[in-house]
Amino acid sequence: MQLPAKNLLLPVILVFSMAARAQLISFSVTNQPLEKVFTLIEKQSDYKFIYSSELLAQSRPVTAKAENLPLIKALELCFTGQPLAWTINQKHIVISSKKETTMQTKRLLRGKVVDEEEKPVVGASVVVKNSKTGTTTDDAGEFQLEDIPGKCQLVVTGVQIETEQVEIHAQNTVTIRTRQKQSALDQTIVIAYGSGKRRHLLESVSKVKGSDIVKQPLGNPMAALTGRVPGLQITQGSGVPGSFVSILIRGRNSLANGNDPLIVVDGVPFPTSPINTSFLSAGITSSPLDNINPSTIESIEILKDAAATAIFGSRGANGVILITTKKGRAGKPEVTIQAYTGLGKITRSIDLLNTEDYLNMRREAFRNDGVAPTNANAPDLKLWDSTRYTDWQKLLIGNTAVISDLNASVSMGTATTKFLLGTGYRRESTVFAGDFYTEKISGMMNANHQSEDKKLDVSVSLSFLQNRSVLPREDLIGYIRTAPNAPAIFDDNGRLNWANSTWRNPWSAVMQNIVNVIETWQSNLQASYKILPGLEARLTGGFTSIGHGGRYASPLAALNPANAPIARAGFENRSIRTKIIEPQLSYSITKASKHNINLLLGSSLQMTDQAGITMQGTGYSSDELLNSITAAATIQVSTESDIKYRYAALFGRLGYDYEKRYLFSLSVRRDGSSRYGPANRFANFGALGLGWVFSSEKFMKAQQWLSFGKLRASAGTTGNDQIGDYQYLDLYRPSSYTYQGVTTFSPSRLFSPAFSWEQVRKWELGMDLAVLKNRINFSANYFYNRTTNQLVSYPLPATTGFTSVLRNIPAVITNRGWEMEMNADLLTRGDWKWQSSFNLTIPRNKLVSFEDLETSTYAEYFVVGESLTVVKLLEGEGVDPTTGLYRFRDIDKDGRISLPSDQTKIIRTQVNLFGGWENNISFRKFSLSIHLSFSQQPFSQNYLMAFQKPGSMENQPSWVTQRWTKPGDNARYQRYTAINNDANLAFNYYKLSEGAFSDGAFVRLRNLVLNYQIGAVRIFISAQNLYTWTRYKGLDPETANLLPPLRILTGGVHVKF
Amino acid sequence: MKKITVIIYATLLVISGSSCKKFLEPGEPSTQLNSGNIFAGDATATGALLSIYAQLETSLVTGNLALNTGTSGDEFLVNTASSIYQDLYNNNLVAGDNLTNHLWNSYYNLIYQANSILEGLAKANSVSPSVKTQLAGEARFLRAYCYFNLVNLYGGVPLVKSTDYLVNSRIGRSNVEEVYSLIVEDLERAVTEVDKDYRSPSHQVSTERTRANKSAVEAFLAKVYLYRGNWSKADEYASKAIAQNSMYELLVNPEEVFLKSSREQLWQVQSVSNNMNTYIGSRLILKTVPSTIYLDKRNLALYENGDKRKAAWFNYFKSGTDTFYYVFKYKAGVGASIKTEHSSMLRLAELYLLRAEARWNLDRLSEAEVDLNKVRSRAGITEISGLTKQALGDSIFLERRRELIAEGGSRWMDLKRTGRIDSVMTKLKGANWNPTDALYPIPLVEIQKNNLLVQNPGY
Repeated sequence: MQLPAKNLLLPVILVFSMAARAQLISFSVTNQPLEKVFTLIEKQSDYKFIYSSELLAQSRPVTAKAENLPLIKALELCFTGQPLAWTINQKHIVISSKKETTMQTKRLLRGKVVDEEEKPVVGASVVVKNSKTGTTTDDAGEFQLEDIPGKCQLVVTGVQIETEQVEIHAQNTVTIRTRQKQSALDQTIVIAYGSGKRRHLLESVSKVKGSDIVKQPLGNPMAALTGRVPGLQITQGSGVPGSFVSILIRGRNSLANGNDPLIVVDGVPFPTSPINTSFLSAGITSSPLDNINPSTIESIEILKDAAATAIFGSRGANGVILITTKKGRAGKPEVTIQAYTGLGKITRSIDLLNTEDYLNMRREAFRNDGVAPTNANAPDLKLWDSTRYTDWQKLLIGNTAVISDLNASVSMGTATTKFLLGTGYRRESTVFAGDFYTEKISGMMNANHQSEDKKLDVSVSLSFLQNRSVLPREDLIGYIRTAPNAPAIFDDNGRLNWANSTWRNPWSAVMQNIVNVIETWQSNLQASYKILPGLEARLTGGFTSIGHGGRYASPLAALNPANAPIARAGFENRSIRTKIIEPQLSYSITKASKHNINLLLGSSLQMTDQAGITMQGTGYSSDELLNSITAAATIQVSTESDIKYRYAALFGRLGYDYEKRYLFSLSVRRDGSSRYGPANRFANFGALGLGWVFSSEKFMKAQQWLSFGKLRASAGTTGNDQIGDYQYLDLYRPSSYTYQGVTTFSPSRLFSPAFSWEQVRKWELGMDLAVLKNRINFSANYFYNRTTNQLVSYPLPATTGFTSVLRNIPAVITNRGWEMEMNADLLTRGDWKWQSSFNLTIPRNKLVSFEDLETSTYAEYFVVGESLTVVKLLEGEGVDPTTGLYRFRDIDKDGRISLPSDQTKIIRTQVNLFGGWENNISFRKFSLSIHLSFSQQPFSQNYLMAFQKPGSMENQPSWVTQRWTKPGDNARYQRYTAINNDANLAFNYYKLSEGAFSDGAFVRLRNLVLNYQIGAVRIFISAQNLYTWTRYKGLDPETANLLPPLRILTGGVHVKF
Repeated sequence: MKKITVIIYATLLVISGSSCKKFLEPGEPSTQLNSGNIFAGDATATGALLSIYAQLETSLVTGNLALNTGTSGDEFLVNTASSIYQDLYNNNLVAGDNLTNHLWNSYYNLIYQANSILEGLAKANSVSPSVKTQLAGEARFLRAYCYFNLVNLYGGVPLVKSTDYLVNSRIGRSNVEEVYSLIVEDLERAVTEVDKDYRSPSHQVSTERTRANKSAVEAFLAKVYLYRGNWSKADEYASKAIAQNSMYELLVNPEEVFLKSSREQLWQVQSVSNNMNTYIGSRLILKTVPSTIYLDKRNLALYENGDKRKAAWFNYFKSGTDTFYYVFKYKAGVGASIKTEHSSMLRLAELYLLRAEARWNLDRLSEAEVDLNKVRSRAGITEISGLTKQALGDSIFLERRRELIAEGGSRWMDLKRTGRIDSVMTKLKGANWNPTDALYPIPLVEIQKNNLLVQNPGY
């Protein structure tokens, strides 16, 4: 096609067609005229060249070879060295001389700004960097800029998006993808079966971003939530890696069992009880959530009130934690690598006596008792070397743990198909003596496809984690009290030294280990199809399979030969398989009218099958064979379980709002659970929520300071089915041994078929405010939960044959309290940015009524009107100056201390207040994050529970030296005693008095991270549990007498390209 | 496409709603039986009864009965600072003590099982009548055995006769009389129900003596009557069992008395635990410095020169200058996996001494002397004759102490029932002894859970 040359002078709209990329061109020419190449290209594409013959006369012959090149590349190839330029105008390629194009550098650019979900961003400002050219996006998110340079940078800013810079080259259209600004109000919050903007939610939900989790060098994502969420009380059980983390949302609702929240990972419920049973967790209970790689988490949402949790029906009573994993993003492949390594030590230790003080204590004890030490009752004084000193605390739990963690992921995709692939590795050794560690290897894959017409959306994800741990059979902290002059660990032959059976050699515990391997497979599918505008069918399904295999080994080498020991090993295999399928239909009307309606209907079917076996092998001929069950002379099956849990539900939710100003939601659920007998199998739950965005009212328009204000209220009923399976059946269990050669059967439990659901009614009033143009966000909630029909493992006197039965009791428990949360952008000036967030919870737990408590089996444990955490104690009266023994008040005046009638002093061991405060400060390439958490607990069990009486053959904290020594002394602690009965009794009573409790309040510098960003690389150092301020008497206020949490210092890099 | 999707979803919704009831029926766990199935046949019903026997051993209750009472009394000394044994030895128990709680809890658990079997058998239609009668008789015997130990350790205890926890959790203490009348009632009925032969699980005659037969029930009934001072009944029932001389005899060699199926045994509990024979044997035999208790060697001085029992039933462990003695009636300790011994529950020697005591009380002194001499001559010591009544009574009492040392709490209960405990214990334990120490405390948690229970005085 030839056109007169003058036509080229006509103004042309130059539009770069995205489709041009898709055309692939192949040719091979040697010294051919340019026009010949044009013909070849025209044949292979639907583009036509537009040029004048004069122009073409200037061209040079072409020698080039193209193989499957995109059109642009092919054009660039044949125009190399030509005095000509080209532009694409729709389906035309317009040729011009180079001079003319340079004159045409001022041009028109059309573009569109979208967010992560490909939705248009309205009202964003688009400015050419270092110029005054700029505009804002329209309702469709589109913009148009005239007279921009050929090569420039665009800066896009907006109220709800993060600032974005884009390079513009020769193109004429551009789509700019931005990330939504994480202003608290515009965050997308995941809720039950859906999501929404915080601005429009009437549910009480807190969110923690994945980035706040991975910045803490922890293996368990739940531990990373400490002090970050109001209403969520996280307590780390121990500093042993993988140990349990207690999770409590808004207090204890149940008297005995089942206070765990429901944890749902991408739609599939995840177990909250330990995967390895106590058979293989002697002393160290494990946390199942340790089997989720924190790096795969996009966000964790904590659902608290009735409006948020009632749709989970019978499992929503204790709150719900939704874990959402990361998904792929559209765009060019993006690789993220984070690696760090660090060292850990226990946060706190206890000051123990040295050998001299210890031996003096022992001698004084025998003097006090008027008894001469003998070889039998005092080998430490009579037989052992009195000059030895071993700091057992340092030796056994004072080592340095080494932590290494590596995570890498690739995200890629187009607007329709996205992928995310990731892998992780973590190894964490312990502070214990001996070679103990946990090691995790994980992988994940997520694929998402959306059809061209955006009607069908399918997402599949698969993740795997292998958690291998080698830990001691018991917490070595139990041995730090070993006498400081205890004998050498090994004898001259390198074997354990038992010194004629005069001591428990702590190394015996070091040599007995447990190996657990837990493999977690999680897979799920989410598919949705838009049947009609507004009507969408959705199917989510998932399969989680957790397999566990482990063994403990007690080798002969670790046991005292004088006891004629036998080598033994225990084996456990367990599997938990959960399948869930949840078909849903949703219908929404969001037309031009101001009434918005959302309707959701769905059902849920879940099957969880657990099977397990534990076996013990004894009589091994060699310690080397302890990994084999067949090598055992005797094999005994200890326990065998086969548990099937079935759960079915129908649910629905109706959401309505008027102009996003008046919000209303109604949710209902009918649940059936196989944990209840046929007569009580089904129950109904539901909730009502109301919201009022009062800042959208006309009367609020005039003022400036309040940018957003919302009031929320909700009420509803949820239930609790965490009661174990088959409890309603009258079962006999086969024993592991035979009698007269046949299997024997004994009753598993008391028969109690008629128990029914425990109900928690929840009320909440909440307020969300934003002031100073959303710079400060503030939320406050007042909640009130009332549990009735308490279903508990009810303690029974042993005269019934058992010590408990599952049964409903007519008691009412309330949990009420205040939750406050504040996020503030305190400073955004120049290169400085300072963001601060604070949260605080003041919970109150109360046993409101308990019919006939005084005559019930609970009489000694609870007090009506008090919290469930009360303890009844003896009232201490200090140390008697004459006898040197503790005295207690004889309340019942019977002339002696009698239990329980003298235990009348009530102390409250609950946490009165907890929360956290985080500051993020950035300056140029530096950023610093400091997180403090705090907890106020006036009475917390102290060191005393872990120690024997001062004077016995065990080490003591150094403060026991403030003891009574002679008549007339007004001492803090009673006299030393080795074997005196009265002193022993007084000490045992002391453990039942306030002396066993200390102020457990603490403030902890939980996490500190310093980042330095150079290009795509971020270098960071991070510290966990850096410092603790507390007056607690003992090891650590959080873990009491178990291994304290670790203070971890790490350094690492984060690369994203 | 649209229609298909709608149909699929509608179907899924409907299915999940309508078939809920069936879906939620997971069935029973394949690893357990429900109570209906247990009493549906002879084999499983017998398995339920045998479980009680097995648990007498596996719950450690039989061994701990002897160890705890022996420590409270004058048989054992405590070596280490292990505070619970110290408290036992010093008669300084607190109500929360684990060792005494353990006995209480275990006996009541076994009583529950006996009650559960009696209730289950009453409703069972397909258990054969002869098996049903035998099992019910044994269940009553075992229930009586548990109550007998409870009443002797704790005094009047709550009488639990059903499996209804609502009743049993709010039940006060009966007095000693009431407890004994249930024991006697159970045993008198069991005597009529239990077969004269020992039975196997398949209801065949068995050579093992690991379940109660009629003679065992009679022997135990004789013991109960003796404890109640009903001398003629004690004499009557002891004589019935002793008369079965084709089954029972005193073994010449004391070393063989505790072997399994020994002809001196009327009732043994089978050793079922791994890596040991009897639990009591594993606790008594010392292979190291005792970690808890060991024999008070003053007991050895009780035996006359030439007493075969002294050589056969005692041994010691030496550590440096310290010598720790132990009772060596059972020869198999920890680590012995081949089963050669069972726990002795009732044996002929006790029966002779029991009848001697009954007849002594009935003033049939020469007959009492004959019975006593049976035991003495087996021990290889001179037979006695012509003693005064008082001296003969003392001889019988001493012989009981020597013959039954470390067996089933015999010494502790003898001291109590004969009223000698205060004088003996005051002499031994001095100011630590208090007359109220003769009864163990009711576990504190029991009183906390059921305030109808009244604590024993002194706790």
